[in-house]
Amino acid sequence: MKAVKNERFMKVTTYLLLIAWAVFVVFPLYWMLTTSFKSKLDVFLGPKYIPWVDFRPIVQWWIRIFTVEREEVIRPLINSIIVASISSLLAVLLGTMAAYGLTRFKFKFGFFRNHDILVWIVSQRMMPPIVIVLALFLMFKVVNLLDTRVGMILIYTAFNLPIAVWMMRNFLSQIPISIEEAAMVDGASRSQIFFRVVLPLTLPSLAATFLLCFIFAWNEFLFALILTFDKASTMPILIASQHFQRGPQWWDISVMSTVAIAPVVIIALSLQRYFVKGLIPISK
Amino acid sequence: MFKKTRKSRLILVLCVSAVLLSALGISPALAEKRFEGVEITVFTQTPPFIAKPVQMFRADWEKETGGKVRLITAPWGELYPKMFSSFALGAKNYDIIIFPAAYLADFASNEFLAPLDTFLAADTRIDWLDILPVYREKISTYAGTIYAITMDGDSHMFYYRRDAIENPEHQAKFKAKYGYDLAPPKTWAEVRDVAEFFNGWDWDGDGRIEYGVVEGMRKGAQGFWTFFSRSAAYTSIPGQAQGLFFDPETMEPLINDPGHVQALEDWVEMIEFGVPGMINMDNGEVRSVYAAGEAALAIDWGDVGVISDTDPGSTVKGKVGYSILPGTTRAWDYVKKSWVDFPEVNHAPYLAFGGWIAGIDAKSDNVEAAYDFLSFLGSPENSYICVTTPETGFNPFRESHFEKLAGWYGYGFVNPEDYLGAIQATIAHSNVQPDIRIPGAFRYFEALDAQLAMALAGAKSAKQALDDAAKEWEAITEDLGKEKQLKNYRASLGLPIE
Amino acid sequence: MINIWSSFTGKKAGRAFVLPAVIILLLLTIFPFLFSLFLSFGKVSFLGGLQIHFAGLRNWLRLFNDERFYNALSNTVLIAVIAVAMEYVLGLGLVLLLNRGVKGSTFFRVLFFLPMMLTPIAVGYMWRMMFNPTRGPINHVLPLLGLPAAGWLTEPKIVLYSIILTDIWQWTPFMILILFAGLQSIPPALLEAAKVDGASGWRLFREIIFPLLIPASVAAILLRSIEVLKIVDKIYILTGGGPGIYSESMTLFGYNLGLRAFDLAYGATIAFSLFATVLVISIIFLLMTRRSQEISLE
Repeated sequence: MKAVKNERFMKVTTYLLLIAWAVFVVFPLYWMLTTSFKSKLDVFLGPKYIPWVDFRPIVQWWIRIFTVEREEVIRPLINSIIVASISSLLAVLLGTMAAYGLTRFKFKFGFFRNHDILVWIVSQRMMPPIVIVLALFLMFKVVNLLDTRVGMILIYTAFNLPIAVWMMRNFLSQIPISIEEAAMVDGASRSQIFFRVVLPLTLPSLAATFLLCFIFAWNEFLFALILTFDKASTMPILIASQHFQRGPQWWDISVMSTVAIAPVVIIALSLQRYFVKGLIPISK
Repeated sequence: MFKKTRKSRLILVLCVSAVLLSALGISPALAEKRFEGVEITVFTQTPPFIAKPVQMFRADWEKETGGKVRLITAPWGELYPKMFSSFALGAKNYDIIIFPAAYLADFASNEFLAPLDTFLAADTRIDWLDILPVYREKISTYAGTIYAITMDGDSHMFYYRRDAIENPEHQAKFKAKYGYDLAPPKTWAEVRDVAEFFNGWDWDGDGRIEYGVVEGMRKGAQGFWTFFSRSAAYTSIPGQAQGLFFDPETMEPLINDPGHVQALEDWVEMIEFGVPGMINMDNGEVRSVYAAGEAALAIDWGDVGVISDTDPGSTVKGKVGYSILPGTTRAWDYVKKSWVDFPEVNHAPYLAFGGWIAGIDAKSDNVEAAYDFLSFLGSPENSYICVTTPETGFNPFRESHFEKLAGWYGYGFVNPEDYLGAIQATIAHSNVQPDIRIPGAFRYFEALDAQLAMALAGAKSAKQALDDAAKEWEAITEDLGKEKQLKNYRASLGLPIE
Repeated sequence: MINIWSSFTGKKAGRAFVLPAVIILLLLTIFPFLFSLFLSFGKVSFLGGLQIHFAGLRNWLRLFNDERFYNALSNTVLIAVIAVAMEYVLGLGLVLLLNRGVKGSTFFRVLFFLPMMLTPIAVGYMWRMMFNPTRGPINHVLPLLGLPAAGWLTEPKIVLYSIILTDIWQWTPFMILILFAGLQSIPPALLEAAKVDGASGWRLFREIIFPLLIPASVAAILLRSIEVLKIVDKIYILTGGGPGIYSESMTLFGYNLGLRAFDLAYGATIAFSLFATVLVISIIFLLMTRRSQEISLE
């Protein structure tokens, strides 16, 4: 009897705590979403909480981004989608290859062995963007990559490679080599083994790695701020641009932030079932 | 109104000439189009403000010349880095930049901008002499050469709520408390009293608490301009060379003299009488907050006036009074190192920021087309439309802008004479103080900005903060070359250079 | 496409796998890295094109005498230490709650991941709305609950904690993610066995679960620390580094001096000192947790 009571008590507290955190997580997002439906006056005379109760929701700002501001919004949105997805795919592909190489072969370049190469790759993540961004500006200018999607794809690939290598290495080192040896006995080449045997086995980890890379690339600000100025600018830049002489345009910022989070949520939901499974190896 | 008739007239003229020309068998493209196939890029702040005029007029210009205008924009804080990096690293990202006048000395002294004198001499459209002398001779000019076309007139002015100050009940209460009549404040001391008086109670009866004052104090925004607006009258003695920034004999920074310290102490005290969170507001927010009716007093460029009367969201339309910046009854004489008392109020209006001007990349491949577009954009007719259209962010800068009132009423102004009068009184004032115009202006601003922010946050005394800023200014001057900077500074003030 | 590698055998095949990543990183980070290092010992002028002159230790001496540097450094480290610690504790707590197998825990988990999908720029604006002293909900609700309103972004003593709060909001999900995966990897049999032995509640956690979570914890804490030490975008939007310089982080400091005031050489010096900081902190952390590092870089 006591145990049952205790269990129910535990259950109720569990729910209460989970709900408390959920409120903390959701309320700011709710605030942003409702602000995108508020008139300027309702923003300035706020705070207003519930549509139809203490303010009359309007769709003016949403209509505007599909009409007057369509051009301004569409390009950064498309840029973000292209740059983030291609760079994440590249980072995952090249990162997995590197991780595979590092776990299956022995290297020696002078003093550099596998472990040193791995440390070097992963330590690139510790380099703050501000260290390299200026020199990148100069480099990109010389090779005409300033303000191009190709340039941004390259830099985000490099920026995510350390994470991809590190995550995939942890996974690959746990796949028993016997599977590959069996394939090799059957006469498969290294590349066939990699693409036909190893990759399918690592699918959940690939998905999880891709998602993390995608989130980082999609949301990155400093590189985009300095290396793009027009044609290749991304969503975070567009959102930051909604603040000018007249102050932050809270309604536009809210609309665009909502637009910016949508694709990530969609991708995350569709990869959701791989997510946790894919991350298990790196946490071992 | 004005805009509409002008546009329809233009369309009519175009249609008629097109019909006539095609009737004669001449293609208009062949007859007139000077810049067929040329694309020029214009770089400025994210629309609407400042970029809107380009959007408004590019189609007309493209039709006239056959050229194309591409608009590239960035948020306010990113303009300087993006312009400077494009120039300094020779990236040629932009043909035209529309930029804050404070950057001119930096750009011109590094030979980033194309000189425009010869273009101007041959230009029949721009009517250069119609532009007010201070903009034409000082703000667009560096070392005697014109490097930019004036797009916008800018000076700080002072705003007060007429409905608050003219209310007899408030007047009686104010007199009882302070011992003198409530009126639009004439000195910074009176600003303090009026701000205190109107702070923290519902003086307009709308059921919400209002506050005394709103001024832009946010770090990394425009706060240092507000500071100089407050210190100008404490440090500028009529007839003496500018005492705001450096000693023109020695290049010693003056920003920590007793006049500046007094102004900063005044300013810090304002936080107490200001809208909550004022310390984190930039001027953009100042405008929104003032138009929402939350404060009695404000310091800003012409924009508070524009937004208060013309923005659909404004709750203070027609209730705003305008004046030249308040003054002082004493000022610090940096030569004699002593205070000077004035029997009358000493005003020293400050041309903070100096307005937006447009220049051309010296390395641009399309200098001629770029100049042609600027001349088109800045012509008397088009600039009048710009200064009287919402969301352009441009304020009047030509004689003719002040003469024609129709456009100002059409714009939504309730009392345009008062508004224009206050701007004219500022610009034409005998003791008017131009902004700092030497290379490295932004480094000086950035260093001062950080110290001002420390004082506003209460981390340092006003004196300490300004002493530290002065030290940093000296270091920057040393870094850029003291001799060179002194020459530049004297040139910017129009003093002889030995 | 796939057959590109078929000609490689043995060692060559190994290189073919590793080289693309190494080349990209070399191209995009080593040259810029060396250039910035060089810049930090130089003086830049622009008249007649970009020129860099050697200036010895000038920038570094300036840095070590700059009170703003120490301020930015201590702000950054303080944010990193508190935010990461809080995120870890909260993340661990929430993971244990999610793991109790109550109905709807998948729903909660997915919901909890939302904040890390929003760009930090938007997070900055969102919380600026929340923190607004007159129009924001926080200062409106607190007095109703009998608590004092505060100048969240304007009080020097509070502002860093407000920034930490937004970081906790956004990145606790990352801890949940990694720790949850770690928890999933514990064989259920092990837990069952421990329960049979009479371990429960606190003891089960302390003696079985927590030790097994150490690798995941080290990974999560290290990754988060590296990221948060580079913090800039949220602060850029929330306060611009103010009031005063009370919330200026290292990256923002480097950005303000290097790119806003366009003092490239000093900016590079600041950036390098940040890199050194990240490196030192990471190494210290890795050394401290060395014993429990099956994950790591071994």
